[in-house]
Amino acid sequence: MSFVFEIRGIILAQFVTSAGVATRMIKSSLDEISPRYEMVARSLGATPFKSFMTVTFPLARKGILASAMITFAKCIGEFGATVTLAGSMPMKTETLPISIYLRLAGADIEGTVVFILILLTLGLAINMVSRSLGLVKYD
Amino acid sequence: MIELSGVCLKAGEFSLENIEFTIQNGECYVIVGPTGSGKTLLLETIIGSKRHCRGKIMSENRDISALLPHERNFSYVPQDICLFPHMTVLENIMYALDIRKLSSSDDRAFAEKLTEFLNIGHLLSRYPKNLSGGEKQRAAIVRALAYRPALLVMDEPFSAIDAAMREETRRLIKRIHEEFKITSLMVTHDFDEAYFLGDAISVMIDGCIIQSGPSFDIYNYPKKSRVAAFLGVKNIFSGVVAAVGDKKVVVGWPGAGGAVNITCGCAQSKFRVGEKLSWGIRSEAVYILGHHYNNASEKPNSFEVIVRTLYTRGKMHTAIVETAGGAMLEIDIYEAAARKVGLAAGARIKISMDPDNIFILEN
Repeated sequence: MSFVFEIRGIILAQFVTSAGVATRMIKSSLDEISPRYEMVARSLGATPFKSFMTVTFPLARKGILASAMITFAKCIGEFGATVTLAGSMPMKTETLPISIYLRLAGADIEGTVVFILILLTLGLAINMVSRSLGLVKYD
Repeated sequence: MIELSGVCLKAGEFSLENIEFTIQNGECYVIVGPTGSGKTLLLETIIGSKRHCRGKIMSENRDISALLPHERNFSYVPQDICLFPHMTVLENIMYALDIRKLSSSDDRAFAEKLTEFLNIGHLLSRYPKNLSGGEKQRAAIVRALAYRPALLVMDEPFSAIDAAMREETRRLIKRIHEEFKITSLMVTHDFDEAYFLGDAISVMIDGCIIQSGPSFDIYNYPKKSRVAAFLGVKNIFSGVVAAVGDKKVVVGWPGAGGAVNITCGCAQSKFRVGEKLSWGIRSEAVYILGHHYNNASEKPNSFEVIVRTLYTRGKMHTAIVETAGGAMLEIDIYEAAARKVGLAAGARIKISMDPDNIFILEN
């Protein structure tokens, strides 16, 4: 399976650069849940899997969703690894940052500004939504 | 019946050593000890969240040491209550019944009876964040009892409740025990709570059970000075045995320039004349004799003392008194009684100590 100059290459590059951050954020979402909730669930008769699925996961769900959105935002803005692996082929491996790069290389300042604004708006919107999700607390 | 024998556990630098006690069916057993003595660790070991390295945990004569927490049938109410915040009170209560697939009308009726008894029927549709501390505690108790566990395990059940609700919740838990005859194990650092609720008590200090027995015995007759100190006994003295009689020991008390008679239920051979021992008496067990009481010599262990300091605090006053030989004693007395005997700093008063209220401490 070839990744070079393919859409698959974009996916692989973004996965490799974001997986670590996503894992760390999901871990901190799970760490926020007191292990006593699971202890109580276990004492009430739940198996480890059942207690995770009925207690820990629902409590961490919002944090996990917020982590996914922030990781998505990071991927949208990813440039270095994507251009290295997938190249910068117009209309094929052209992500938003690559579009900015291509327009800037062609001295298309208006086009560059439009894409920068799109990227900025997307990033801010995702950040705001994920923050509002993350701020919802049960306790 | 739940029985722990020789249970040991290491958790980093801290360890539980040779924990042994038996909880009879229908009994409320309380483990009391200072903060950091390993009480919560012990509970977590009993419910199966921590694995002990030695000893046995038996439930109805069956060794359950190797069983996982969900196989033990022990229900746990932690210190921070831990109602599931994403579920309503009703969903919390039904959690165990649903997980265990207990859907008979009898099981549902029992959960309803508990709900009614603890007066949380009007809270069933609410989420835990909208409940007060007392309401959360009651909901957690119903959730824990709904599936009729073999043992209800409670960790400091009153710590998350404000002082005004604490007494009410204590009485409620007492009534639950009387009504439903549940077997329970509770840990607390508050001896008043332990004495109020516990049929039997173990005092735990530094990962070891120092003394176990009925609540009355632990409170009135601590055997070790560490237990006495934890229970707040201030009057601990040492002396030399002057005479040994039938269920009685006379101990010289140089601090008061005399001797005290102590009743002991032990064999006479246990003490020898000339042996050094420590004894103590609770501050509320020292009596102050009124001014018009002229037959102080008839009262056993009566001494004349001077009140050095008087702390007044609401219904109880504390007097620090000094004996003729310079020993300092602490006396707790009700405000009304203090007024009656004219208790004031600098006053010369007569005190008496009932030999039955004095306890001998083991070395």
